[in-house]
Amino acid sequence: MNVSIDNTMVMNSSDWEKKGVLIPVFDKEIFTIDIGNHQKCIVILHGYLTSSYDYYKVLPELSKHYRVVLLDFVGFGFSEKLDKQYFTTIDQADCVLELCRLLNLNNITLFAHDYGTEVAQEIIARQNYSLIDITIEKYILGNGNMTIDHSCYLDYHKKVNQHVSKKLIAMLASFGMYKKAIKEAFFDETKISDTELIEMWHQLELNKGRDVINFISHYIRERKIFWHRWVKALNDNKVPIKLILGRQDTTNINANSNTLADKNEDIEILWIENCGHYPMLESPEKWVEAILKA
Amino acid sequence: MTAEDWKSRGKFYSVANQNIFVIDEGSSLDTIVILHGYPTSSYDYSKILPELSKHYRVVIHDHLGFGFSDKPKSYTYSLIDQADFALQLWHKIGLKEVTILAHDYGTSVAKEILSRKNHNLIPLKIKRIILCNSSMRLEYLHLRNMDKLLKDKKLGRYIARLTNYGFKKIKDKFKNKNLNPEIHTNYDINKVWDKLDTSEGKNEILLLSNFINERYTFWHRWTEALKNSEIPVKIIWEKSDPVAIKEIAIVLATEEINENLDWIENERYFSILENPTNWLNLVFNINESKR
Repeated sequence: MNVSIDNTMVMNSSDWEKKGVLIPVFDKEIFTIDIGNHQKCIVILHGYLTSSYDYYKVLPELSKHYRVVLLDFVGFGFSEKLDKQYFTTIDQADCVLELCRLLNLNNITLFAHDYGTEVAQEIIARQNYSLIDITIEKYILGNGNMTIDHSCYLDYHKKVNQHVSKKLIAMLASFGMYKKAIKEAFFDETKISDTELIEMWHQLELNKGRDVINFISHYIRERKIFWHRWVKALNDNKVPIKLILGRQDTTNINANSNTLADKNEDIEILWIENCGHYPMLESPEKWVEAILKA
Repeated sequence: MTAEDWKSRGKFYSVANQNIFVIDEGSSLDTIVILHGYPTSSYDYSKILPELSKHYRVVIHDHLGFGFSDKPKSYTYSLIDQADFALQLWHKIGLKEVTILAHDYGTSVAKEILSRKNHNLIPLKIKRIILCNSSMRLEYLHLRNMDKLLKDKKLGRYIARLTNYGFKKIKDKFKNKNLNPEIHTNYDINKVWDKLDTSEGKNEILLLSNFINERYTFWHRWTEALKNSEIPVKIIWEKSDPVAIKEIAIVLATEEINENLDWIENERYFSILENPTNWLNLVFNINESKR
């Protein structure tokens, strides 16, 4: 299937905000976009320091085929931001599941990217243990931190985590640093415009979004605590898992994903060539094609 | 009762391909499930089981990595995993409505289960929750040097191998640090330690002790679970507990608390091992002499 998307129009934040509503989930306001009149439904989980806005290019095309549910995690985008506490990955997973229940979603395909893949892995773990009610039929994971090494949490991983955390902390410091980090994640830097970056930064700054207490240190600690749980989740999956990955991603190690696919024959990779960490922004057509194929 | 006797009283259930040791006694329709503490096992409850099972159906399991349950090698056991295993096990046994009694490490598992209940994620009905001896506000906990060393990833590796120390540590906890002079249970302590020694349990202590980090991470989630609970929660506090010092109680006491939280101060340090009868009376109003 050939998908064509006009790559030149940039959407501003307030137009994006108008597409969605705030839904209260356990007393937290979650910004949710729910578009498309189809039986099949896709729920999308965004990455760290960005928001559902990452998907503005692909939404019109995707909603021709799916009921698309996009949400901003608590602490990101237009969702409620908590300045006095860290909202754990486990809490985020609870919220996603509750939101699916409130919207009465069924036959769900779950797509997750970056930080979202960890929330997805938590949901996979619970599904493997038959601890969730809703039916998720398929998981599609984008570029993210899929841990596959079954051995113990090693010093090597500690170094990787330290490197990651330095990078992530730097992103919060200023617009300049944020811009630099996001641009570096692209294969072709010209694919992301300054206007888009300003809109993304605006959403991040909204409601003191940068003041999240110690996000990184908590986040890294969680990655360590749940190392085995999440590795196990991917290895014991009961429903199909597909990976859609930009080939030239410098922020995550794609070799990991290869090993994962080699180890588990239920897991299949669809590569997007000449593309970095954000395929939905850098190669939106190919990304939509891959989603429809997966 | 020897550890082997205890083992023969229970049976094993397979949960997610792991064998979980379960004691299931009593014929009452009212069920109590018990989440034991760290680093012991269901054996802690051997003394109160005969009396408690006259009033309730009592289901106690050894957490994954503890007691007679499987101890998968090189797996970081998270409290979240323990909650998952407990929920799957209870489902497998066919329990629909339970009272949860939790001790120490088990209280964290119980609070995770309460969080899920508050978040509409589990169908199991929970009548009430009883939390005992818990270090609920960990930032006030004074970790002793040895606990700190055990927590250290690099040193802990070697320290865990000093197996004899582990025995001493438990013994100290039960004997010297407690104020009750009656305790003479060297014999019991030996058995608890022997069990910890099986399936290379010692190597797992290091991985298990990760739970300290988790309590920091989930502090908000679990305090919120207590604050928003629609299920009655009873908290039994012991002033003389050497680990959960009284500052913790003070902080908790001065905070705004849900009306469903009920506090009982366990002034005389009734414990399940030392004075089981008094403990039962305090927690369940079961009085052996009256019957």
